[in-house]
Amino acid sequence: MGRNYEFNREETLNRAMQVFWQKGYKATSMKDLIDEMGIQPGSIYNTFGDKHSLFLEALNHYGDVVTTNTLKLLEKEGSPLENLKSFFNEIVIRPADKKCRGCLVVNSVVELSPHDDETAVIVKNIMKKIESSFYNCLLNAQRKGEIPENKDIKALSRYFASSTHGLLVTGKANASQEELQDVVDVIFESLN
Amino acid sequence: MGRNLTFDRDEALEKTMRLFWENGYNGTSVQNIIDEIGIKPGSFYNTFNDKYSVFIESLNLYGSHVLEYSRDTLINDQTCKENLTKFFNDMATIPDFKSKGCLIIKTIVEVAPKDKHVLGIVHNILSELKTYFYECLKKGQETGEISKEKDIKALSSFYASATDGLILSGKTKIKKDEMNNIVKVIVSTMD
Repeated sequence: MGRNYEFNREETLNRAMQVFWQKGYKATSMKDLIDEMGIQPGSIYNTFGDKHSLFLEALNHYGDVVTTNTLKLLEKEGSPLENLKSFFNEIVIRPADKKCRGCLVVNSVVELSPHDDETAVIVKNIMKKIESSFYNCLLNAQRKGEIPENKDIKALSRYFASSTHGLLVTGKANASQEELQDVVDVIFESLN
Repeated sequence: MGRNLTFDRDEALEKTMRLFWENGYNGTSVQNIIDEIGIKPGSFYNTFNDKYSVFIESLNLYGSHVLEYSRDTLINDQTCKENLTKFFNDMATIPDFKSKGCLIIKTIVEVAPKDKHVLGIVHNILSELKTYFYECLKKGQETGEISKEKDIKALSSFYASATDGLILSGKTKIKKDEMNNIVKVIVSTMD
């Protein structure tokens, strides 16, 4: 029974995350959540608390998925530099609806972070994890001689995190694939 | 009388624009606007029609402010590198950006995905910004500051995207010297 409940909880949380991701925090109503999560309002309150606590949990869940996937991609066997490039190329070649949906972290920074400290803390932790994955990837690339020894990879890892934000927003603003590819090519010129 | 009315309208629009800038489209109600500019609901609807229309006007006003600032900063007698450095340092440090972010980015995230008209306005503002980067870089190529080999169209697209990234990074509570480091790497791509 306990295990079943846990499974349902995660599945339900995942559905809530999809709604927030698609619509944004403010535009998501309790009714949207009830419809999509397929449970009674009372169960939502009992299990997750109010809309804001549900959102924080959904954002954390999203962060876990994204940081795990990023780490997996960047630590793949072979060339660290190529792994980093495939991280950015994936954003370039995403289908339009995914570009339009963007990233829940970026969307939340934009919508909530100045007035919502809890969201800001979660976002900061997610970005730190992504940045440290970039850092390790760049360090490995440097060790393999793929990027020059004299590069400040700490600064570069922040720059790549910032560039990821920029690229996601540019993609959301309906830029052509060609333009996004140009942006990514220049992002990587910093490593020459 | 007519002049008085025009003056008040401009001031009210400026205040409304700052409200949308702070709270975004979904986070701003007509009641918030009425409270902020201190007019009666009837006057609001007579003057600005509805929330959507006043938002469009606010977005255009914001766009014209940003473009005016960008043109002045990027196209002048200084070197290309000096201009780009000033531009990105400003993006990293101007208090309004750090606290409120940027209305264009907010609009891209919140409204543009569902609204072709708004997306068109945003697109035009960004295209104009890219032409200023392009002009700045072209001058750099003419004076020999930047290599003729550089694809300055791609660089212009990158700088527009990097502006978004930098403003967002500024909102994630990162330290000032970390922001400076990002600016240095962004500008270094012209070398």
